[in-house]
Amino acid sequence: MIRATDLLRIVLRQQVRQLNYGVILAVAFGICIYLSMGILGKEIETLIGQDINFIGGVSVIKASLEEHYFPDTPPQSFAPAVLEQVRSMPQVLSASTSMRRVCWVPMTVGQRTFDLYALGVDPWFWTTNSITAFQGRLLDAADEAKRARVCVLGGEIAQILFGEGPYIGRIVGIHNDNYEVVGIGIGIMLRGNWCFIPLGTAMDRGIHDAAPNRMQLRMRRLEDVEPMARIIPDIVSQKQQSLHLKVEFAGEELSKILGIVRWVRILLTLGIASSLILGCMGIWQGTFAAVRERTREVGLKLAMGAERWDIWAQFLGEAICKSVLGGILGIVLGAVCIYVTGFLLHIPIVWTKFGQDSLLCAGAATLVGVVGGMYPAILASRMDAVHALRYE
Amino acid sequence: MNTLIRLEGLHKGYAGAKVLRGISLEVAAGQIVAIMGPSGCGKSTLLHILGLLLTPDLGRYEVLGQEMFALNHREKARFRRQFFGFILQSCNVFAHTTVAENVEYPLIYAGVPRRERLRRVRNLLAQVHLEANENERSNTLSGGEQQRVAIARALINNPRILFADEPTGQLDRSNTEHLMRHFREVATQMHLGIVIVTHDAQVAAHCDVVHTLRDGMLEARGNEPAMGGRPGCVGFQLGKP
Repeated sequence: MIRATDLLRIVLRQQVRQLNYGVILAVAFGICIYLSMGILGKEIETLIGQDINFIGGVSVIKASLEEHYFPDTPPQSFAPAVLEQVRSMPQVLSASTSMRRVCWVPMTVGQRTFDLYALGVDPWFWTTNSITAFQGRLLDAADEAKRARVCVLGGEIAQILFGEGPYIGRIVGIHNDNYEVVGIGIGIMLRGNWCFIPLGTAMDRGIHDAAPNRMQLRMRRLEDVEPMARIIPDIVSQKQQSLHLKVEFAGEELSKILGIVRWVRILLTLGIASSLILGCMGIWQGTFAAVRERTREVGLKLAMGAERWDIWAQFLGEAICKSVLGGILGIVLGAVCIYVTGFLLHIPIVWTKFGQDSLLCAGAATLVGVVGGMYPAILASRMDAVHALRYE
Repeated sequence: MNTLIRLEGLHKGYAGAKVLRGISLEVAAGQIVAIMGPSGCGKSTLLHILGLLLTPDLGRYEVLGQEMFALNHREKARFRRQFFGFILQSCNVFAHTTVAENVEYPLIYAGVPRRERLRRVRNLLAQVHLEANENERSNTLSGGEQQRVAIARALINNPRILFADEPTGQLDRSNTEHLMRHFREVATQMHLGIVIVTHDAQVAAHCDVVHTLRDGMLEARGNEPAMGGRPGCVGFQLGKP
């Protein structure tokens, strides 16, 4: 019986000299997509969730305490324990609180006076609402801690106030106090004349008359929005008394987008499955063709003393070798795709998960080779030696 | 004389037609035996039965004193590995493999370690003057060179009996002459019994015994040595013109 090392050498030699690129690429393609989806899928869904906010912030849940509708009820705000708990939940990307209501305040620039919306925000506000700094920086925890008199202007109002700029370092008067402009914020959800100041500063300076009673949660995945919205009342009621909690999310838009995401997922899964099936069929047909082409070789080998197992092992080994080569190529391509995509989209890559998934893919590739090559290899091994030697 | 093969009363038929009818045959060490006959008379069938590739309907077959037809499939394969060598008419080399890899195959199936295999392959290739072609693809060689590769492969496991089915079918007269001289030399040096199925009178002229298969039965005649080719009478270099 042929030794395993000799079998491996013969099989590899045969593959190197008779590379079947179509089959190898089909398997590699399937593995590459599977790995990319497995490693980047959730992160990309998160990014998609952030990028499709123009439809109405579908990944954002808004919760508010609406006691002001009831004149005899004292003002309420979300307890820090509530915020801590929701921020610790893995499905929550960020949770932000803001003031009870947006104030329409006068702003003075030089001799001119404008009206604008001023909102006290915490450092998580930007991530939750997909607002990025177009110039300068956004308000951070240090501003909050120092109760700094700094502000971030929306792009539109900045242009109205200061024309083409420069914007950073300019002083604006809000509610009888001077504030330094430290950044210009832009975002799809940011429309209108907005001015953001640190939450603590807003409360100290009397811009708002009560503690924050609005909470916004951005979910990592769209599927988590509705379940999370359902459990928010339970979370709040465990931590504080909340008589008039209101929870909102864009249900109709969400269900439409989830439908689109589901279809994309199905299409990708079909792509993976079809490429692996294609690889399997290619290996099946390729091994059949090899058996036909090398029938006399099989006869000769049987004549020189090869056992049926040797013939079976060689053809099956060649089939597995093809699919494993495809698998290895797919893993390498997958690693490159994941690295490049992660680099471009600033997604942190969990390489240990990639290692685990790669092992799974190597197993799947081997299975493709076994399924594709088993029957032709059995046929070859059962071949009658005389019939094979006389084959033309 | 040391008898390698003893065949008695062999019968074989296909679909009701009797191809071989009571064949008896003996082959001794160092002897070259030719089996001739018209096309379709059963020469190759007889060779395949002798090579344990085909099972007869009836008969008794001994090789080196051991009864062959009692062996099972695996035992026959092992016996072929240890004691038999095969050379065919055409397509004798494996595509996509080098000369050395072709010759190495029987040793791989015999489980010989790689280092020992390479040593034996190199020695044998030197004997058939193919050492310079060791790493060449077999299918790039000429017909005569391919046949020398096949001979080297058939001899690599030091067989006791060599079976050749029309080995000169694709060779010209000159190469046929060289091949037969080569057979004579190895038969003598290795005490090898060689059974050749052939149409070619030139080949038959080099054999010690020529059997003609007619109507399923063998007719034997002795052969005068055409080139002083009795065992021990060799005086030429292998594979050289």
